[in-house]
Amino acid sequence: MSGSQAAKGAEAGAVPSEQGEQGFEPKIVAFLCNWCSYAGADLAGVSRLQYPPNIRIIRVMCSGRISPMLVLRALKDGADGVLVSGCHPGDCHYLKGNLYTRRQLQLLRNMLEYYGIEADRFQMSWVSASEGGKFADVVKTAVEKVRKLGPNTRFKVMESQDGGE
Amino acid sequence: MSDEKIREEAKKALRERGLKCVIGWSADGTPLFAETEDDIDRLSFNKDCANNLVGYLTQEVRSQRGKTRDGKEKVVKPVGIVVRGCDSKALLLLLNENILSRKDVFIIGVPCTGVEDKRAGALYRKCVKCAMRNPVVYDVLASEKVPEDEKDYSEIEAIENMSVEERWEFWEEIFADCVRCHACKRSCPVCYCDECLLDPTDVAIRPDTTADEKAHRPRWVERSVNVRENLLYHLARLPHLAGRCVDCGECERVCPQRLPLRLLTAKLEKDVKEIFCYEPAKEEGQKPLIAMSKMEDENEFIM
Amino acid sequence: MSKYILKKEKVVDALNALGNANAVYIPVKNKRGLVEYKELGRDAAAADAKFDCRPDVPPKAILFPQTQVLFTFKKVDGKIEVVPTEPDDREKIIFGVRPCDAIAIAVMDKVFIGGKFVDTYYKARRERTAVISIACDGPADSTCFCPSTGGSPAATEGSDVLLYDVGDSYYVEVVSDKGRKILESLSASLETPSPEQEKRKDEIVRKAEAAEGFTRSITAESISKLDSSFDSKYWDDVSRRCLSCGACTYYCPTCHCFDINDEPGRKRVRTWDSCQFSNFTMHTSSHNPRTAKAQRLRNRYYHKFKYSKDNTGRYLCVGCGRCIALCPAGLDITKVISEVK
Repeated sequence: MSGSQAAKGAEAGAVPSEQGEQGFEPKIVAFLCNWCSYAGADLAGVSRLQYPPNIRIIRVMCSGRISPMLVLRALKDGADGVLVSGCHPGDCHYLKGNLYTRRQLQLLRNMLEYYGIEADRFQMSWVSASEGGKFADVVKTAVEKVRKLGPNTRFKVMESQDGGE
Repeated sequence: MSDEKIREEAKKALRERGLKCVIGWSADGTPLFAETEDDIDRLSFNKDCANNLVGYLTQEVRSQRGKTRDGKEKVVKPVGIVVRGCDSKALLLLLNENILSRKDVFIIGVPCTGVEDKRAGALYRKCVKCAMRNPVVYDVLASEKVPEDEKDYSEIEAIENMSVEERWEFWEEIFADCVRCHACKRSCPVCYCDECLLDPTDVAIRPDTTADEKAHRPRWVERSVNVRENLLYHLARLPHLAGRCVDCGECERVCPQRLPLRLLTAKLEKDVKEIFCYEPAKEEGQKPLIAMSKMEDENEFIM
Repeated sequence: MSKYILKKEKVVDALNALGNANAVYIPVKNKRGLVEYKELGRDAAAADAKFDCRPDVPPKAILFPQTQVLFTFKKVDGKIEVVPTEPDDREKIIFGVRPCDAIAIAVMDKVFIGGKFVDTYYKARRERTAVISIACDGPADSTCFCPSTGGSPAATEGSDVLLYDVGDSYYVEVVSDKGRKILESLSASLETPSPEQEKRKDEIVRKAEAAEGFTRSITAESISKLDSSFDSKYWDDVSRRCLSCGACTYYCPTCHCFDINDEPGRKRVRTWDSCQFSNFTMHTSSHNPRTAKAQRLRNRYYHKFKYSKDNTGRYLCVGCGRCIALCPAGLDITKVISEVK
């Protein structure tokens, strides 16, 4: 019950952007932790703060739950960008989940860049439950960065390479 | 010269410590599981001995574990192994991760000046400049220690200096040739999971696993072999090796397509060193990089 | 049988002429020094053709691709509609195949189109494929052992045309009607053999029949020991160093096991599978008859040398030696079979 209300709140702040008619609109998968960032997104919604509608939110219990595989799979399946957001260091509901994920995902970010996937396609932020305004800013920045990079074509299959006859 | 020392120490340990077997190389470079003194006389170390044997050690120790009928832990007979510098790093990592226990292994170290790639008739690339020629963990050393080189990252830096597009094309060209025989992951001494997410069919299924559960297993990498899946396959190996890969180069050695896989693992090792000042398997009792955290870790890339 | 001579300097022109009407596959060296079959014009140039060694990768994938989309499906008005994949209907010529690989194609034919059930995907490719082989002058590699498996460095089985390297030219022997038709299109480049060239060719055949120069072999006697060694502890010992990777099977010209999966994008895909992978025999019920590495390794050798012999009368191994050359753990099939206890 409260979950679905929160979901509505979190999505409500997202409004269609004006330049959306022409030009490229990125799709960004956003993994938000339940205790801080999701609540922050909710606050942005109920405060009627506006941010671009390009993110698709997936709520997870803790940013420490984000396996690098989730990020890779999202990028492989065509997401233009991935945003992972959790509690500020020291504020994690589970004490250190965000610190562990910071280590892993920093290495992942470096490896993505080394692999030839622009580092800005994968972004992280710390947003607390009271930072509705920051959440809207983070989404704006993330969307702008990915918009600049253009669509993610890295993992597009070419039919001939896919065993197609 | 070191052959005699290896054999002498192996025989002594076989008698005194009751080893299950000694894992080493025979003179032609193939792995040898020596169970008797006669077998031990065939142990050798020379330029053809290229295999990393540490994976076999895990297999030999683990296969003995379990419980007896009356619920007691089975007795694990210690296993002997001959290791070079790079192998010993992988072995130390397994000890640090408590996959192996020090009392279950007897280690004969052989300082190494490089092994040869028979196909190319020259030293393996990893051996030309090597910073881990001397074993870091051992019970006995078979010969004198040898001088080591500084680690050479020039190949990695060359790739780092490419543009993002160039880099993607570089890897695309390489992994278009991967046939996904899984030799890289199967040979990796620090890969010891029973099931692996890199193969969608390689999942543990028990009698009580329901059809629903089977259908909903995440399939991270599809079975289709194409550039896209291959790229993901090799990228997905890396987070699992972060702070664990000692860059022994076994994956690159076994690759039947001769893909330069060390360009990935060496970069990982370099990053770990530069960002976290961490070197996997540096000392005994070291904690795994990913199982630790610090408030003051770098935070700059986070909004 | 018709006999011709094709001068080596004319091979490039001949390949390009064939390439006009066909997809021609030739062995070429890739960036990493591996010799594999590539399509002329698309991935390779005729001048790069490398005919002086056993290719590291067999031509198997041309007839039986590692990944093949069987069909796609879509939902139309709530109903599932199956869309078959367009078959590859180009005429294909594989040029420069070694006799062992040609025999392997004959073996695969038996599996996919020789029995009661016909594999339409394989059939579509096979019917449009011609095989032009080059006889080996003695073993092409130190790991070769084809005479032990019923093959020969100058075997004609599976080939449509067989070439013999007689110095500055190839002696051309037509084996099948398909081969004759291909050579008709090349008639301008062909000449009549001289007596010396005949003699040189006969010498290659003699050497092949005598199995001269081979350092590895498997005797029928050691193969017959398989009858009684199924439960032998030998398999535990020999499999200890196996890594359970799929290198031996993926590079084997006769290994043909596959797996079928539905994948995102609404497609059903057939991919190679390997009997060395632990879940190869996993049943839906969760029972796995071959959980141990030793069982899986044993099965590979039994399938190659016993089961297939019992069922079809021939070995499933053509003695190309690739599994010996590529095994990361140094397992040698000739040694394993010879030492069976």
